[in-house]
Amino acid sequence: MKHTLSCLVKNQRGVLARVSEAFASKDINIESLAVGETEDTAVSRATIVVTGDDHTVLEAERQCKALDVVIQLEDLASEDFYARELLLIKVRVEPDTIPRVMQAAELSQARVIGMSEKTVTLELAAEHTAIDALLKLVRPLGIVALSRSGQIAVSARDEETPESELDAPAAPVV
Amino acid sequence: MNSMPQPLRSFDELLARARNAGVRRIAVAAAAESAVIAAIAHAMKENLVQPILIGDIDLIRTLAEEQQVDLTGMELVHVAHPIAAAAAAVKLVHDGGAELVMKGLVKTKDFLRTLLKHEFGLRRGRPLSQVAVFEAPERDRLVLLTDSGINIHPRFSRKIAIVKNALQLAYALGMDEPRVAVIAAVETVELPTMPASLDAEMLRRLAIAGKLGRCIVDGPLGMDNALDPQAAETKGLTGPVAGHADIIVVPEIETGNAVYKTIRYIAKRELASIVIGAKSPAVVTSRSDSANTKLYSIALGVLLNRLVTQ
Repeated sequence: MKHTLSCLVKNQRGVLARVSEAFASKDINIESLAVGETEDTAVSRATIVVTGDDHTVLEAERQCKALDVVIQLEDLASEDFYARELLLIKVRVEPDTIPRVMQAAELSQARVIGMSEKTVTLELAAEHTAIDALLKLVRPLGIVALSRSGQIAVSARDEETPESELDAPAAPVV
Repeated sequence: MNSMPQPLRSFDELLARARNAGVRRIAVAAAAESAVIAAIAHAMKENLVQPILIGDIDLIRTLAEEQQVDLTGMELVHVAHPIAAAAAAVKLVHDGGAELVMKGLVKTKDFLRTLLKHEFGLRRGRPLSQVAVFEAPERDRLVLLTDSGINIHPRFSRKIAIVKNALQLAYALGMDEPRVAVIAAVETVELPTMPASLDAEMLRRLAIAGKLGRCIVDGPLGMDNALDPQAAETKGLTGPVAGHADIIVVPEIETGNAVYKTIRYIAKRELASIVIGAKSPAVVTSRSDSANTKLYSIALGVLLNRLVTQ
């Protein structure tokens, strides 16, 4: 089963390697991993997509949570969440394929952000299924370059800010 | 010897050419509208059409009497409801009882929907678009503008159809290899901010590859550089279209509508328009259009119908 994990970690060097190791130690391959700062610059959010049996993934999650650099870890598979991925793709374009390339962009609501004599570059921020659908449309036309950001996600419910030493209020000045 | 007719330069020439095309039977949907009755009577007098007025007969007669329009020679068919009248008119063309259809006092969306009905419509698998025509006295031919009335925010594939529809009319107006300007606000492709400039560039490429038929396409071009040779020269635009466009393709309906009305109300020029894409051209004018606009629009339909049926 696919699991989308949302993990708040300290924004420090070496954190990703330690989180990755927790999954590697359980022989779980990380399908996508996207990390960026949150509203608190001392905290990063890592969205990790893994596939594995529930028990093994749960063990890896426990191991992760035990790390001192991990502030919070949620398995979003068990609740509603918003997920997006960014795709940048350069597609070959020839007179015969112009209508198909343009139609693919229109159908998937991708933006054309660049063009040359031989290619157009599309940008799409969407759920991964929509990105897969676009790829299916343009693959026969010739993909010159492709880059996917990996999925980012947030829970749909109102989140409570985790308590951590990073969030602790400054000591009152007496 | 070149057998191609010369491009038409004025609406007078349009009327003359349409008269020579032979009288066409025109079915007028929901014809109980003063301006429509007057325009049809005028077109009949000009030997352009043989009218079949479909609508509330009593009302049609009253309105004709008020304007002292003689209905002699016109066929009247009583269908009171506007949408039913539209259906009857379209069906008449479908069944071969008329060659042209014209919108009267029925909502445009209802009329167009009827035009495309599966059971008896005139659907031909090509999207509909409106092409307007205006005189440009300093030019040696009429100028076409599309689409100012039907396609709101056309995607690229729809723009291909819009160009092809306009080309069909341009050929009917005697243009052998129409010069098509695809309009944007700039002359270079600006991405991602100005997608219309990308559409223009892609249409240009398709035309070069011969995918649009007999024409020359250039774009993106500003309106000034499309129509004014001096403006084009000033900007260093040297292609065959810049400054000499025969067909103006606007990015979306707001631009088209604004240009149409600017020509009419600021430049005080007459226009004509026609809806293309169905098996038969459709005359769709608005109530605010002048009597001449209605007459010239009917003439466009006659000419285009001749080309389609040739």
